[in-house]
Amino acid sequence: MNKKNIVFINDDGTVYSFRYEDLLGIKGLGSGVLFCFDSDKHNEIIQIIISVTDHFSFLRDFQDQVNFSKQDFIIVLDSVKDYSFSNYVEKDQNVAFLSIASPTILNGNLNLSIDEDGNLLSAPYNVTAGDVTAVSNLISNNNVTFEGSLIDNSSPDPTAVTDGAGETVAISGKDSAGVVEFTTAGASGSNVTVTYGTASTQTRIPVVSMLGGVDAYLVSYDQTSFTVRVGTTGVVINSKFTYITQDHS
Amino acid sequence: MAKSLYFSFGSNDALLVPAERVGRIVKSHLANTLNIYIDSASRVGDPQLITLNVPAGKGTEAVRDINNALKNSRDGVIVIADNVSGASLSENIISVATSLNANIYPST
Repeated sequence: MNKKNIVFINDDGTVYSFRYEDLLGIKGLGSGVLFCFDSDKHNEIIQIIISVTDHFSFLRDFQDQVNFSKQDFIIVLDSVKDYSFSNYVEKDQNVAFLSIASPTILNGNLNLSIDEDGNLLSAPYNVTAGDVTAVSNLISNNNVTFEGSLIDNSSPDPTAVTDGAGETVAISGKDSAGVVEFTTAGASGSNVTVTYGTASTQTRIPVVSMLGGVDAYLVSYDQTSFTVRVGTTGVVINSKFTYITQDHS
Repeated sequence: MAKSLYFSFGSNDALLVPAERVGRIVKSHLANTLNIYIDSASRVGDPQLITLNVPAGKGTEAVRDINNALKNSRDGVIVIADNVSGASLSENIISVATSLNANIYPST
Protein backbone atom coordinates (compact mmCIF):
# COMPACT_ATOMS: atom_id res chain seq x y z
CA MET A 1 0.00 0.00 0.00
CA ASN A 2 1.21 3.45 -0.89
CA LYS A 3 2.26 5.35 2.26
CA LYS A 4 2.15 8.87 0.89
CA ASN A 5 0.13 11.67 2.43
CA ILE A 6 -2.10 14.02 0.49
CA VAL A 7 -1.93 17.60 1.74
CA PHE A 8 -4.06 20.70 1.30
CA ILE A 9 -3.07 24.06 2.86
CA ASN A 10 -5.38 27.07 3.02
CA ASP A 11 -4.14 30.66 2.96
CA ASP A 12 -4.83 31.00 6.70
CA GLY A 13 -2.35 28.19 7.35
CA THR A 14 -4.92 25.46 7.95
CA VAL A 15 -3.46 22.13 6.87
CA TYR A 16 -5.45 19.07 5.90
CA SER A 17 -3.39 15.91 5.53
CA PHE A 18 -4.75 12.50 4.61
CA ARG A 19 -3.19 9.11 4.02
CA TYR A 20 -3.35 7.87 0.46
CA GLU A 21 -4.60 4.55 1.78
CA ASP A 22 -7.70 6.36 3.06
CA LEU A 23 -8.50 7.73 -0.38
CA LEU A 24 -11.84 6.29 -1.51
CA GLY A 25 -11.91 8.04 -4.84
CA ILE A 26 -11.77 11.38 -6.60
CA LYS A 27 -14.78 12.73 -8.39
CA GLY A 28 -14.18 14.65 -11.57
CA LEU A 29 -16.56 17.60 -11.79
CA GLY A 30 -15.21 19.28 -14.92
CA SER A 31 -14.00 22.50 -13.30
CA GLY A 32 -13.33 20.86 -9.96
CA VAL A 33 -12.32 17.64 -8.28
CA LEU A 34 -13.75 16.20 -5.09
CA PHE A 35 -11.45 14.05 -2.99
CA CYS A 36 -13.25 11.47 -0.83
CA PHE A 37 -11.41 10.06 2.18
CA ASP A 38 -12.39 7.52 4.79
CA SER A 39 -12.43 8.88 8.34
CA ASP A 40 -10.43 7.35 11.17
CA LYS A 41 -13.49 5.67 12.65
CA HIS A 42 -14.82 4.64 9.26
CA ASN A 43 -18.09 6.38 10.02
CA GLU A 44 -17.69 9.45 7.88
CA ILE A 45 -16.44 10.41 4.47
CA ILE A 46 -14.28 13.51 4.39
CA GLN A 47 -14.64 15.44 1.18
CA ILE A 48 -12.26 18.10 -0.09
CA ILE A 49 -13.09 20.07 -3.21
CA ILE A 50 -10.72 22.20 -5.25
CA SER A 51 -11.03 24.00 -8.55
CA VAL A 52 -9.11 22.73 -11.55
CA THR A 53 -9.06 23.69 -15.19
CA ASP A 54 -9.30 20.12 -16.49
CA HIS A 55 -10.21 17.30 -14.15
CA PHE A 56 -8.87 14.44 -16.29
CA SER A 57 -5.47 16.08 -16.79
CA PHE A 58 -5.30 16.83 -13.09
CA LEU A 59 -6.14 13.22 -12.22
CA ARG A 60 -3.33 11.99 -14.45
CA ASP A 61 -0.92 14.39 -12.76
CA PHE A 62 -2.13 13.17 -9.38
CA GLN A 63 -1.61 9.52 -10.26
CA ASP A 64 1.91 10.32 -11.47
CA GLN A 65 2.63 11.96 -8.12
CA VAL A 66 1.33 8.90 -6.31
CA ASN A 67 3.58 6.65 -8.33
CA PHE A 68 6.70 8.65 -9.01
CA SER A 69 7.08 11.45 -6.47
CA LYS A 70 9.99 10.91 -4.12
CA GLN A 71 8.31 13.08 -1.51
CA ASP A 72 6.22 11.58 1.25
CA PHE A 73 3.75 14.43 0.91
CA ILE A 74 1.75 15.15 -2.18
CA ILE A 75 0.87 18.84 -1.86
CA VAL A 76 -2.24 19.21 -3.94
CA LEU A 77 -2.65 22.86 -2.99
CA ASP A 78 -0.63 25.23 -0.82
CA SER A 79 -2.45 28.55 -0.85
CA VAL A 80 0.19 30.16 1.36
CA LYS A 81 2.94 29.56 -1.17
CA ASP A 82 0.56 29.47 -4.12
CA TYR A 83 1.90 26.06 -5.08
CA SER A 84 0.53 22.84 -6.49
CA PHE A 85 2.20 19.86 -8.11
CA SER A 86 -0.21 20.28 -11.00
CA ASN A 87 -0.56 23.21 -13.37
CA TYR A 88 -4.23 22.29 -13.74
CA VAL A 89 -5.04 23.46 -10.20
CA GLU A 90 -6.53 26.96 -10.06
CA LYS A 91 -4.51 29.51 -8.09
CA ASP A 92 -5.86 31.81 -5.38
CA GLN A 93 -8.32 29.40 -3.87
CA ASN A 94 -8.91 27.73 -0.57
CA VAL A 95 -10.14 24.20 -0.24
CA ALA A 96 -13.66 23.48 0.91
CA PHE A 97 -13.93 20.82 3.61
CA LEU A 98 -17.03 18.71 4.06
CA SER A 99 -17.80 15.57 6.04
CA ILE A 100 -20.75 13.32 5.41
CA ALA A 101 -22.01 10.17 7.05
CA SER A 102 -20.79 6.96 5.55
CA PRO A 103 -23.04 5.11 3.16
CA THR A 104 -25.97 3.42 4.79
CA ILE A 105 -24.91 1.38 7.78
CA LEU A 106 -28.32 0.62 9.13
CA ASN A 107 -31.03 -0.45 6.80
CA GLY A 108 -33.99 0.94 8.56
CA ASN A 109 -34.90 1.68 12.08
CA LEU A 110 -33.61 0.29 15.32
CA ASN A 111 -35.44 1.06 18.52
CA LEU A 112 -33.20 2.00 21.40
CA SER A 113 -34.52 2.48 24.92
CA ILE A 114 -31.44 4.00 26.55
CA ASP A 115 -29.55 7.02 25.33
CA GLU A 116 -25.79 7.35 25.17
CA ASP A 117 -25.67 8.68 28.75
CA GLY A 118 -27.52 5.66 30.08
CA ASN A 119 -30.80 7.46 30.60
CA LEU A 120 -34.02 5.68 29.91
CA LEU A 121 -35.75 7.28 27.00
CA SER A 122 -39.38 8.16 27.45
CA ALA A 123 -39.95 7.06 23.90
CA PRO A 124 -37.78 4.68 21.91
CA TYR A 125 -35.29 6.43 19.69
CA ASN A 126 -35.62 5.58 16.06
CA VAL A 127 -32.22 5.35 14.49
CA THR A 128 -32.51 6.04 10.83
CA ALA A 129 -30.25 4.99 8.01
CA GLY A 130 -27.05 6.98 8.14
CA ASP A 131 -27.41 7.91 11.81
CA VAL A 132 -24.13 6.25 12.54
CA THR A 133 -22.70 8.54 15.18
CA ALA A 134 -25.52 7.96 17.64
CA VAL A 135 -25.30 4.22 17.23
CA SER A 136 -21.55 4.03 17.57
CA ASN A 137 -21.69 6.13 20.75
CA LEU A 138 -24.36 3.93 22.26
CA ILE A 139 -22.61 0.69 21.44
CA SER A 140 -19.20 1.91 22.59
CA ASN A 141 -20.70 2.88 25.96
CA ASN A 142 -22.44 -0.47 26.34
CA ASN A 143 -25.61 1.48 26.91
CA VAL A 144 -27.75 -0.12 24.35
CA THR A 145 -30.73 -2.37 24.47
CA PHE A 146 -32.93 -3.38 21.62
CA GLU A 147 -36.65 -3.25 21.33
CA GLY A 148 -38.99 -4.25 18.63
CA SER A 149 -37.88 -5.65 15.36
CA LEU A 150 -34.98 -5.16 13.05
CA ILE A 151 -37.47 -5.16 10.23
CA ASP A 152 -37.22 -1.88 8.42
CA ASN A 153 -40.19 0.45 8.34
CA SER A 154 -39.37 1.05 4.74
CA SER A 155 -39.21 -2.64 3.94
CA PRO A 156 -40.83 -3.82 0.74
CA ASP A 157 -44.40 -4.22 2.07
CA PRO A 158 -45.82 -4.92 -1.38
CA THR A 159 -48.73 -2.77 -2.40
CA ALA A 160 -49.59 -4.03 -5.84
CA VAL A 161 -49.63 -7.21 -7.81
CA THR A 162 -50.34 -7.17 -11.52
CA ASP A 163 -50.78 -10.00 -13.93
CA GLY A 164 -49.90 -9.38 -17.55
CA ALA A 165 -52.40 -11.90 -18.89
CA GLY A 166 -55.39 -10.51 -17.06
CA GLU A 167 -55.75 -13.10 -14.34
CA THR A 168 -56.24 -11.86 -10.83
CA VAL A 169 -53.77 -12.66 -8.14
CA ALA A 170 -54.07 -11.99 -4.46
CA ILE A 171 -51.28 -11.14 -2.08
CA SER A 172 -50.90 -11.73 1.60
CA GLY A 173 -48.22 -11.05 4.10
CA LYS A 174 -46.10 -7.94 4.20
CA ASP A 175 -42.65 -6.62 4.78
CA SER A 176 -39.94 -8.67 3.21
CA ALA A 177 -41.79 -11.99 2.88
CA GLY A 178 -45.17 -12.96 1.56
CA VAL A 179 -47.36 -15.26 -0.47
CA VAL A 180 -48.90 -14.59 -3.86
CA GLU A 181 -51.93 -16.66 -4.86
CA PHE A 182 -53.53 -16.99 -8.27
CA THR A 183 -57.26 -16.46 -7.83
CA THR A 184 -57.85 -17.52 -11.41
CA ALA A 185 -55.82 -19.83 -13.62
CA GLY A 186 -52.68 -18.32 -15.12
CA ALA A 187 -51.88 -18.81 -18.79
CA SER A 188 -48.46 -19.71 -20.05
CA GLY A 189 -46.25 -16.67 -20.48
CA SER A 190 -48.26 -14.36 -18.26
CA ASN A 191 -46.28 -12.21 -15.89
CA VAL A 192 -46.97 -11.48 -12.26
CA THR A 193 -45.23 -8.38 -10.94
CA VAL A 194 -44.96 -7.73 -7.22
CA THR A 195 -44.35 -4.03 -6.56
CA TYR A 196 -42.80 -2.93 -3.28
CA GLY A 197 -44.44 -0.24 -1.22
CA THR A 198 -41.17 1.59 -0.83
CA ALA A 199 -38.58 1.71 -3.57
CA SER A 200 -34.99 1.06 -2.63
CA THR A 201 -31.85 2.76 -3.82
CA GLN A 202 -30.35 -0.69 -4.29
CA THR A 203 -31.52 -3.69 -6.23
CA ARG A 204 -33.47 -6.09 -4.07
CA ILE A 205 -32.83 -9.72 -4.88
CA PRO A 206 -35.84 -11.90 -4.04
CA VAL A 207 -35.86 -15.60 -3.33
CA VAL A 208 -39.01 -17.08 -4.85
CA SER A 209 -40.32 -20.57 -4.05
CA MET A 210 -43.15 -22.23 -5.94
CA LEU A 211 -45.52 -24.33 -3.87
CA GLY A 212 -46.66 -27.76 -5.02
CA GLY A 213 -44.91 -27.83 -8.35
CA VAL A 214 -46.33 -24.56 -9.67
CA ASP A 215 -44.87 -23.92 -13.10
CA ALA A 216 -43.54 -20.37 -12.82
CA TYR A 217 -40.15 -18.78 -12.46
CA LEU A 218 -38.46 -15.51 -11.54
CA VAL A 219 -37.57 -13.45 -14.61
CA SER A 220 -36.52 -10.03 -13.33
CA TYR A 221 -36.00 -7.90 -10.24
CA ASP A 222 -34.89 -4.39 -9.39
CA GLN A 223 -35.31 -1.74 -6.68
CA THR A 224 -39.05 -1.46 -7.05
CA SER A 225 -40.46 -4.85 -7.99
CA PHE A 226 -39.87 -8.38 -9.17
CA THR A 227 -41.62 -10.39 -11.85
CA VAL A 228 -42.54 -14.06 -12.05
CA ARG A 229 -43.56 -15.63 -15.38
CA VAL A 230 -45.91 -18.58 -15.79
CA GLY A 231 -44.31 -21.55 -17.54
CA THR A 232 -45.55 -23.61 -20.49
CA THR A 233 -48.05 -25.70 -18.56
CA GLY A 234 -49.78 -22.70 -17.01
CA VAL A 235 -50.95 -22.59 -13.43
CA VAL A 236 -54.27 -23.56 -11.91
CA ILE A 237 -56.45 -21.50 -9.60
CA ASN A 238 -55.16 -21.15 -6.05
CA SER A 239 -51.58 -21.83 -7.08
CA LYS A 240 -49.17 -20.05 -4.82
CA PHE A 241 -45.61 -18.91 -4.55
CA THR A 242 -43.76 -17.44 -1.63
CA TYR A 243 -41.01 -14.86 -1.68
CA ILE A 244 -38.41 -13.40 0.61
CA THR A 245 -36.62 -10.24 -0.37
CA GLN A 246 -34.13 -7.85 1.09
CA ASP A 247 -34.80 -4.89 3.34
CA HIS A 248 -32.71 -1.98 2.39
CA SER A 249 -33.62 1.62 2.05
CA MET B 1 2.80 0.88 -9.45
CA ALA B 2 -0.38 2.23 -7.92
CA LYS B 3 -3.24 2.12 -10.40
CA SER B 4 -6.60 3.79 -10.49
CA LEU B 5 -9.70 3.20 -12.58
CA TYR B 6 -11.34 6.11 -14.39
CA PHE B 7 -15.01 6.28 -15.28
CA SER B 8 -16.83 9.19 -16.90
CA PHE B 9 -20.59 9.47 -17.28
CA GLY B 10 -20.47 13.09 -18.44
CA SER B 11 -18.14 16.07 -18.74
CA ASN B 12 -18.69 16.98 -15.09
CA ASP B 13 -19.54 13.52 -13.81
CA ALA B 14 -16.47 11.32 -13.47
CA LEU B 15 -14.68 9.23 -10.88
CA LEU B 16 -11.15 7.99 -10.27
CA VAL B 17 -10.99 4.99 -7.93
CA PRO B 18 -7.82 3.42 -6.52
CA ALA B 19 -7.60 -0.17 -7.76
CA GLU B 20 -7.32 -1.38 -4.17
CA ARG B 21 -10.89 -0.19 -3.60
CA VAL B 22 -12.37 -2.40 -6.29
CA GLY B 23 -14.26 -5.29 -4.79
CA ARG B 24 -16.34 -7.73 -6.72
CA ILE B 25 -17.38 -7.42 -10.34
CA VAL B 26 -20.71 -8.94 -11.25
CA LYS B 27 -22.28 -9.54 -14.67
CA SER B 28 -26.03 -9.97 -14.46
CA HIS B 29 -27.60 -12.56 -16.70
CA LEU B 30 -30.71 -10.38 -16.81
CA ALA B 31 -29.19 -7.36 -18.50
CA ASN B 32 -26.20 -6.33 -20.55
CA THR B 33 -24.64 -4.54 -17.64
CA LEU B 34 -21.63 -5.09 -15.46
CA ASN B 35 -21.59 -4.00 -11.83
CA ILE B 36 -18.34 -2.96 -10.21
CA TYR B 37 -18.59 -2.71 -6.44
CA ILE B 38 -16.11 -0.48 -4.67
CA ASP B 39 -15.25 -0.49 -1.02
CA SER B 40 -17.38 1.83 1.06
CA ALA B 41 -16.03 3.59 4.10
CA SER B 42 -18.55 2.12 6.47
CA ARG B 43 -17.12 -1.41 6.13
CA VAL B 44 -20.51 -2.92 6.87
CA GLY B 45 -22.73 -0.71 4.77
CA ASP B 46 -23.77 -1.05 1.18
CA PRO B 47 -20.80 -0.94 -1.15
CA GLN B 48 -20.75 1.73 -3.80
CA LEU B 49 -21.78 0.61 -7.25
CA ILE B 50 -20.63 1.56 -10.73
CA THR B 51 -22.67 0.11 -13.57
CA LEU B 52 -21.29 -0.34 -17.08
CA ASN B 53 -23.07 -1.16 -20.31
CA VAL B 54 -21.51 -4.10 -22.11
CA PRO B 55 -22.33 -5.75 -25.45
CA ALA B 56 -24.69 -8.71 -25.34
CA GLY B 57 -22.87 -11.86 -24.38
CA LYS B 58 -19.60 -10.07 -23.60
CA GLY B 59 -19.80 -9.82 -19.83
CA THR B 60 -17.15 -12.43 -19.17
CA GLU B 61 -14.80 -10.84 -21.67
CA ALA B 62 -15.33 -7.43 -20.05
CA VAL B 63 -14.46 -8.83 -16.62
CA ARG B 64 -11.38 -10.46 -18.09
CA ASP B 65 -10.28 -7.20 -19.75
CA ILE B 66 -10.63 -5.25 -16.50
CA ASN B 67 -8.69 -7.83 -14.55
CA ASN B 68 -5.97 -7.92 -17.20
CA ALA B 69 -5.68 -4.14 -17.09
CA LEU B 70 -5.45 -4.13 -13.32
CA LYS B 71 -2.63 -6.62 -13.52
CA ASN B 72 -0.75 -5.56 -16.61
CA SER B 73 -1.43 -1.91 -17.42
CA ARG B 74 1.62 0.31 -17.49
CA ASP B 75 -0.56 3.38 -17.16
CA GLY B 76 -1.44 4.52 -13.65
CA VAL B 77 -4.84 5.76 -14.81
CA ILE B 78 -6.84 3.02 -16.50
CA VAL B 79 -9.75 4.45 -18.49
CA ILE B 80 -12.51 1.88 -18.13
CA ALA B 81 -15.20 3.91 -19.90
CA ASP B 82 -15.42 7.57 -20.85
CA ASN B 83 -18.83 8.57 -22.18
CA VAL B 84 -17.51 11.99 -23.19
CA SER B 85 -14.73 10.87 -25.50
CA GLY B 86 -16.31 7.51 -26.28
CA ALA B 87 -13.19 5.74 -25.15
CA SER B 88 -13.33 2.47 -23.29
CA LEU B 89 -10.90 -0.13 -22.08
CA SER B 90 -11.90 -2.57 -24.82
CA GLU B 91 -14.63 -3.40 -27.30
CA ASN B 92 -16.24 -5.44 -24.53
CA ILE B 93 -17.20 -2.32 -22.58
CA ILE B 94 -19.60 0.24 -24.06
CA SER B 95 -20.16 3.02 -21.54
CA VAL B 96 -20.93 4.04 -17.97
CA ALA B 97 -24.63 3.36 -17.40
CA THR B 98 -25.51 5.63 -14.48
CA SER B 99 -24.44 8.93 -12.98
CA LEU B 100 -21.41 8.66 -10.72
CA ASN B 101 -21.93 11.97 -8.96
CA ALA B 102 -25.41 11.00 -7.93
CA ASN B 103 -24.59 7.49 -6.82
CA ILE B 104 -21.06 7.38 -5.45
CA TYR B 105 -20.43 9.10 -2.10
CA PRO B 106 -23.00 11.81 -2.76
CA SER B 107 -22.48 14.96 -0.70
CA THR B 108 -26.10 15.27 0.24
